[in-house]
Amino acid sequence: MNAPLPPDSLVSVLKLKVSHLMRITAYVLVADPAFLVPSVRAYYDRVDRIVLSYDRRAKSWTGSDVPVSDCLERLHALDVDGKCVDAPGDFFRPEFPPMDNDTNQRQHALDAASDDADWVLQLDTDEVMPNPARFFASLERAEATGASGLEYPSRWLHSRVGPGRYLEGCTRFWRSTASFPGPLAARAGTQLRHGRQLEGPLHRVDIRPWNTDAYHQWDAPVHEVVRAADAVVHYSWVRRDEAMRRKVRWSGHSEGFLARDEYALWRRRADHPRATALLAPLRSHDAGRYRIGSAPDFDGEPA
Amino acid sequence: MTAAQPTVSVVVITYSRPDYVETCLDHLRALATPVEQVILVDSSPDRESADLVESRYPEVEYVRSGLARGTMPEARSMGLELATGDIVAFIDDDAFVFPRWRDELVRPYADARVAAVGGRAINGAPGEAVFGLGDIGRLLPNGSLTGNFPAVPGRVIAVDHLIGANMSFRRDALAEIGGIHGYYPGTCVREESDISLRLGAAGYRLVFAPQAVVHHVGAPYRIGGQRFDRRYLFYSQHNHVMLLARVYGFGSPYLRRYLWTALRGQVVFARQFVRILSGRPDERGLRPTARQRAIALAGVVSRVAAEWAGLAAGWAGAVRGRALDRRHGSAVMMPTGTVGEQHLALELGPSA
Repeated sequence: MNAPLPPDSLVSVLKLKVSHLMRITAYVLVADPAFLVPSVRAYYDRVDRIVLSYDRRAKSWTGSDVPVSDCLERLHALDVDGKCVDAPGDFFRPEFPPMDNDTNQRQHALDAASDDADWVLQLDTDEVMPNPARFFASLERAEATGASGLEYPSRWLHSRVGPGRYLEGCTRFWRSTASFPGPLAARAGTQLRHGRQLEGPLHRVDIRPWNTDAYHQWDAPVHEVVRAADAVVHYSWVRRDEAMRRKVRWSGHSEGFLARDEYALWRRRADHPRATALLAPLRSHDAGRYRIGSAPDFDGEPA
Repeated sequence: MTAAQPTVSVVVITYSRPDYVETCLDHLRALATPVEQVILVDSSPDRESADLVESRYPEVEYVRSGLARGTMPEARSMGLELATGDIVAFIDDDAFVFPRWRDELVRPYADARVAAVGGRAINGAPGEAVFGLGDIGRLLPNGSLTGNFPAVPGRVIAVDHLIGANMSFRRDALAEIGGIHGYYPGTCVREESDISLRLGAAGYRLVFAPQAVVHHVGAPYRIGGQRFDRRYLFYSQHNHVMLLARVYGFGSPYLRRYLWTALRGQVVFARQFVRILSGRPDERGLRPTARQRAIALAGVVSRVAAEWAGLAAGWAGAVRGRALDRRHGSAVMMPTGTVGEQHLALELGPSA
């Protein structure tokens, strides 16, 4: 008998490699230039096709203007292998709530990306894979275990504090925590329920063997563990001031953001990162607990 | 794999459930494609199952184990010794195969990397086909195991372990890992997971074939106690600690993490305890009487006590189990002095 493999090792993941080569595509919701290029570049070589979904009138889900042409220009510049396919549509529907418009656009994009594909990546354009090999190893495992979606952990970043240093979401006592805005990959042909959330079984990866996301049930199963450094980095609110003002208006969650005056809160935390981090133990999860952590910088970002 | 169309031996182990054995063998006889060999390993103290096989099932190879109750892996090991098929399938005596079971179970073995195939064990519970769809047969990083073997994932999927009521293995793969580990005491819970996890640790691939179905009726225990009673809870924890220590070693992160997982699991009981103590009204607005509260508290406390005792005792069991594994490499006959008529003095493994 061979020596037992250490748990959670890459080797034990790779031994489950599926017999056929998975066909992987991606969709990109074209609206926000911040971190767009590093986000797509991280997986560009590993996908067959990228569907670029955007509103043909350059409107967000709330009806505000978004810089679509700027984003398309950046994407076409990095598309050296001709993988990107434009998929314009009418995704601002004033009669629907923003989140419904969000889900609707994603479903259109997912359907378009599902042709000749086994899996579709659905990362937002400010989510960057620091270790694509690890992400795709988890995707192989999701395929092998029959999952409909891959829940892969994200580190949620609030604002940049200094070179390579960011204010990021954490536990009460400053431990890393994962957030799961939705499955970051979906089996082709999947039906979305709400935003990126989908019906069907999920392969759930976390940064510890027990669920670290306070928005999930405390005993939510964890199928695989990766290092926090391998989690997707979500530069969610790492924006220039003006871009942040826009973001709270175009987001699918803008109603809540505006009601809480999220921009003012963001500004205060970004201006006082150390005090914000120090106060983490006193905050409820909903009020936001932050620590100062490391994450990659990218030239020219936030754009 | 020794042939394009592998041959199949089926091993059924039983203890004092002749009625179920009869139905089990009838279903095996009704398979669309017959299996090449059926072996019944009988650990019962009486001759009822023996007489049944003798009178009605001449095609079945009957083995009287002479073992005491609570020796399922040892009984499996006896069956494995006699099996000649390329594939050895194990089903419980209260698991009744569907007509296409053999065909569906064998199909995934076309992939040479697959060393084990299990199938659904349906109970007829409402919603069982969809419950736990994402968690079928997994060893989680926190050291716990998931079941959900009645679920239908819609395709053949990779798993970490299989259910003993419906599992099969390449015979040569079992030989390579040293056969079947014995000594999983009490209810023998986790004994089947030991085989799967060792195969996985050796680099083999295990899959779940949802079309290979048995109806697992869950017959009453004849080995003492009831399903999921305090004794069962004790041995669940005891044997789980043994399992992780024997397969991965005492230094394994799985073992360490499982202890923390088990302690976290007690939070549920702590909440129940507080709720009962506080005497809060239930959803119908009724406050429990003092007697009801005392009974409920006793239930929670005894449950916690059973689990903690099992966790603690599991370490001693693991030390003994690992010593047996080192000595024998596979299942051993436990010294029993049982009522068996043909006590088979088998001691399997390298030391035999």
